[in-house]
Amino acid sequence: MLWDVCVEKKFVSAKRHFEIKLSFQSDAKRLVLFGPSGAGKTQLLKMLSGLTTPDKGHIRFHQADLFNSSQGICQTPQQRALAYVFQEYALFPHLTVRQNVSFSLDKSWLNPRRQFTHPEVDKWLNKFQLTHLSDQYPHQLSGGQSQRVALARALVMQPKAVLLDEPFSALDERLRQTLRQELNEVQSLMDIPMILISHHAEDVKSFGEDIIQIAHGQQVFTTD
Amino acid sequence: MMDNAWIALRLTLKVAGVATLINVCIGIGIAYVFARKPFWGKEVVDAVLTLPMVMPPTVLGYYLLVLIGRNGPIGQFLKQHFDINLIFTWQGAVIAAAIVSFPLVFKAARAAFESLEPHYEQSARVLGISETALFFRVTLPLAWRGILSGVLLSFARSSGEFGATLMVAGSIPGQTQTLSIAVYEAVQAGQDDVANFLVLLTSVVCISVLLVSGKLLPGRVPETK
Repeated sequence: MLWDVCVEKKFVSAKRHFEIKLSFQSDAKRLVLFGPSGAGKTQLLKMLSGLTTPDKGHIRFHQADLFNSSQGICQTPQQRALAYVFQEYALFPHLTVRQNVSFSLDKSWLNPRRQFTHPEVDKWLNKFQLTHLSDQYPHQLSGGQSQRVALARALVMQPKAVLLDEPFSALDERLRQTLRQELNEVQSLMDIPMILISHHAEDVKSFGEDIIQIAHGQQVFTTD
Repeated sequence: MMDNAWIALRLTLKVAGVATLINVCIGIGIAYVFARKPFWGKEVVDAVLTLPMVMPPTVLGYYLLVLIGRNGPIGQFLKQHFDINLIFTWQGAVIAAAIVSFPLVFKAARAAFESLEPHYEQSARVLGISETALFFRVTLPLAWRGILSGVLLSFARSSGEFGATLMVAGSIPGQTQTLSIAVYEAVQAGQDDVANFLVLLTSVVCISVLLVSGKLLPGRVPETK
């Protein structure tokens, strides 16, 4: 089984009381978590990546425990090596496109230099037609370009899987279609497992191989 | 006579510089812990650390005397184990200046760290960068402008320190007599020409600091979208 997830977490704040209680198993390399905003999709994705720790349960990926509360296993995000593409892209504003894309290749205390080169970096910059933007800063990029940089940055680290949080939500309809296609291509090319969050039916149709519907922190419906 | 003024200026810059350096290391470190880690009694400790900003400097100087003086717990320890005496030394003046200006760095750095969007650090984490490395590569560069204003204020406050410094380090010309103390001494002794020169010198230094900070602060890091 590719993904075997069973998690519980309570979020308590003055304004809101929210509980996530989800379990799913899937062998799909293209998995879509589908549901309205506020359903807990992003939180679930953060648990998979290790940015949030569930209260209880387990997360297994390729039969290996990333998290298991009964055995006290909880890998850090760094150990999990799953790429995460944020909804707002979260490109580092103080680094150029090239430095952003190279970020994961240099593990030292210093950021990669502006002239940093590496075959992987050049490959992905080229693939997403970003080479001419190498020296630009994120605030100079359009939405579609930012999205591609975020994707390139995630893929350069050669992750075990890619988690995408509403990757197309900030884009217009035409761009959305182009990027969906690109994402599909990348997925087939690399044969890498991806999980995509969306509240758009279109995304589900074009990308989803397996769909998990979520509402109010609970799983509603699964299809294969 | 004028030579003494230059000596006082050098001493002031040395004391303020070292004090600011100490605050940069300790203040930024503590501020980061406060901004990121939850722990019990955080706001109480924050209040204690901010106290030097609101307490009269002479009161602070008295506390310091009690602590690091010959009979104080820290003073005795240093004397016995390292044969170090801090009272009436420039190092004592550094400690006084550092403590008085500590909250300026601490407050600015904590606010700068807390106002950072968490997703920058999170994305560095999922890209496999260790916690220490991401502090230097992401957190610090993005928070730096907010911290820098606190650091400059801390330098200005340190170089103008009077009350606590006088209590702890006294006013020994060439050793602990900083500019602001020298001005006071000159006026007390009725040496108006010395006082005039010192005041002028101090003003020039202050204006230079402001000009430098104006050059350093705007538009170095591209704005966050």
